[in-house]
Parts: sequence; C-alpha cells; structure tokens
Amino acid sequence: MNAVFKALSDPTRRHVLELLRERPMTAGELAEHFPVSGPTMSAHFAVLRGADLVDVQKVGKTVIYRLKLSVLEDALLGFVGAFSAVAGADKPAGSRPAAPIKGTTS
Amino acid sequence: MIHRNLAISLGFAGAYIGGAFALKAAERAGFIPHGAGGQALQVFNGLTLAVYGNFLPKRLGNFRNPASAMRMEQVLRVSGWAFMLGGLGFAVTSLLPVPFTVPIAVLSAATAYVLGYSAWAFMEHGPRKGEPRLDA
Repeated sequence: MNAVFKALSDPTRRHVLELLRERPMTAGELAEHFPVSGPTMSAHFAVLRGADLVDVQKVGKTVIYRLKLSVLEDALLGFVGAFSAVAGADKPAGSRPAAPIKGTTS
Repeated sequence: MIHRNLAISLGFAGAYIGGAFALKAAERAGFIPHGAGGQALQVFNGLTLAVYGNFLPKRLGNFRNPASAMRMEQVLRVSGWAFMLGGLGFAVTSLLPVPFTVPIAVLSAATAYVLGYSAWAFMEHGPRKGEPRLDA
C-alpha cells in the first residue's frame, strides 16, 4: 500500500494514469506528453509497475502500458487528483492531452 | 500457481462452511441470539463480494489490440465498482431491520447493472471486422 501512495504522490505519475484511463499507450506515446528525459520517464514507469498500478504487455518491440487499478486505488487516484486540483498542483508543467484512438467513440 | 489458488479456494470454502456450522451451533447453544448467525454470514458474503469487486479491475488478460483492451478495461472497471458497492450495500442492509428482499434487491440491481453494461459494451463496441490485431 505504501508503494501505491508513493506512486500517486507524484503529479507526473498521476497524469500518466489519467492518460492511460483514456486508452492503452506505448511508452513513447506516454513520454511525448511530458517535457522530461527518457530515463526519468522510465523511472516513473518503474514506480507505477512496482505499485502494480499499470500492466505492461510487450508486442514485438513495442511496450504497451494500460491501467491496472483496483476500485480503491481508482477512488484514491480520483481523491488525490481532486485534492491536487484544489491545491493547483494537478498537472505537471508542459503536459498535453491524449489523442483518441481511430474507430472508437470515447 | 493453479495449485496455490486451488489450495487457497479450498481453504476459504472449508473455513466458510466450518464458520457456518460454528455459528449454527452457537445459536443452538444460546451463545448468540436466534438469527444472528445467518445475519453474520450475510454480512460476510457482502464483504467478500466487495473485496472481489475491488480487485476485479486488476484481472486483465492479454489483449488483441488497444481498442479491445480499452473495452475490457471499461467493463472490468464498471463491474468492479458495481460489485463493490453492491457487496457493501448487501452487507449494510443485512445489518438493518429491513426485510431480506432489500439486500437481495441491492445485490440484484448491481448484478443487473453489470450484465446490462457488459452486454451493451459488447454490442456497441464489440470486435469489428478488420480491426487491427497486435499479435497478427
């Protein structure tokens, strides 16, 4: 549980989870949304994987991330997100929204 | 892994049946009021369903493509929330002085919602002809 709190304490990791809520993404697609270096993003992904908040599937040379939140973790993410929005620290600087998948309605 | 899960499930089932017999025996011996054993089991059932619902969204399998993965995620997420809230509702209403139909109605509503949403998700966003496959 401590790993979950640690993972959710960082705005970049929370934003990664929010992006994955929209659709599964490759590591590259996720990294495009943040103005940080590759190794830094890899470290964030490792923390999320360590907390079992994301699922990783390797297809060929592509690594695809998708959300793996329990109901309580989902509620906690929403709670922390709402709390951070009130405090004005909900999004990391320079982040961009996700593009929709072709052929989906969401 | 399968043997471990089977052992855990059998252990859980044994403890559940043993607990039910113990509660019934305690009722007959007059240690607990009549009906309290059944009520305790109902609360336990509700909480078990809530725990199952909590972890349901984590039971992701391999996916064929991002669109089907997204659909599966949504169905598991909605089902998890419905079963968790339904289970908690079942447990809480089992403790209240209301007819047994009330907790059953709460559970039935959650189950109907899960079935309805799953059917809708499959029909509305089911596999499409020509959808790209990641493993192709």
